[in-house]
Amino acid sequence: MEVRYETENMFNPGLINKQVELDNKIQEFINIASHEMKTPIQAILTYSELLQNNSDKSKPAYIKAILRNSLRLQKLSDNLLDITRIDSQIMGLKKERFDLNALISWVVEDFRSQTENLEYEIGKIGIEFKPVGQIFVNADKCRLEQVISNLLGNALKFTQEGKVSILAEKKEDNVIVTISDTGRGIKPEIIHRLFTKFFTLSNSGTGLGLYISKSIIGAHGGNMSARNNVSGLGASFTFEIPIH
Amino acid sequence: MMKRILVVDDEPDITSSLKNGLQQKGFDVDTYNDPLKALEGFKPETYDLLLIDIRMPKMNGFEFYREIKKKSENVKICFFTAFEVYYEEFRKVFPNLEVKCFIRKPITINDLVAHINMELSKN
Repeated sequence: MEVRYETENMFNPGLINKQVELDNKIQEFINIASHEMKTPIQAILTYSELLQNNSDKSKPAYIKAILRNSLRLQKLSDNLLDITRIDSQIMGLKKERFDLNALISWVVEDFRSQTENLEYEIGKIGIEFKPVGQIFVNADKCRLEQVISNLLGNALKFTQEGKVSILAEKKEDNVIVTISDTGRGIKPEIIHRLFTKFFTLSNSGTGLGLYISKSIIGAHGGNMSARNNVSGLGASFTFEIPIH
Repeated sequence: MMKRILVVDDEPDITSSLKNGLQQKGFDVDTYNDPLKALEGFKPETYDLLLIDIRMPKMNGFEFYREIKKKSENVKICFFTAFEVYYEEFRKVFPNLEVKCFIRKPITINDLVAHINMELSKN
């Protein structure tokens, strides 16, 4: 089979170009993933060395920094594993019936109860969610929690003042969830790149979150989109999935 | 006399840990997380060596280097990077310049100091 493949390549420049393009993408992926890993490793390494010096009084701060950077590595490794699952088309969903409003409330409470976050100031921005009744869906609860956390976290990260609002509504056989913020909005020229791999506007982000979220929603047979708010202030991210 | 090092990296955990680590090794260290502010505050003849990250928002390390060279022709710079493709990228931006000092993250403080001392010992 290998010989045949080589022969096909030799006579088909299109195939060779596709292979080169794929190789370049893989190389780019490895470069960025490797960069994202090395930065927290550098911090962990140096803080650990500093901890070896017993006379240093800043020990609690160093330990906190090591934990912060270890969590960053953990998140990155989870994301990379998800990317591999998505690209290999082996992301399996464990569907169950649950109340989506209850899940969103839980995620919101989890965000509100955090006392510290790497990427934004907790407590400065209000999170508004007023669920009306229950909306039962048949979906992967853990994966939807991941999507809602990602969208909520992004909204908080890019909002300096005001609030982030979440709205879940049933429309025929679908449920539509919209997360709106009062942040700086999205530049029109980058909207089409938001859901692509490694696209990030944040210094601390890996640029994988939205790509993974959109893929999770896609695996549920739904779709995700982003737009600037009509009011001219902030942006909204919406996903829609079938209830069953 | 204590050698003065300027560290510019957009990651606060990197600048903060390096500042402490290099101070423990006897260096006088200033840090910036914003390359534009570092450029604004830069005064020629102040530092013995600049340790500059490459991938930074607002201005990357190579652009920063270009601007710094306008202010101080002979300043010593080491790029401190987690990127693998820095050499080729540097040659693209500065085809006529000899490659400067590149230090790869992650690195221990002892090894970093060895690199810094080697660069400082060059004429």
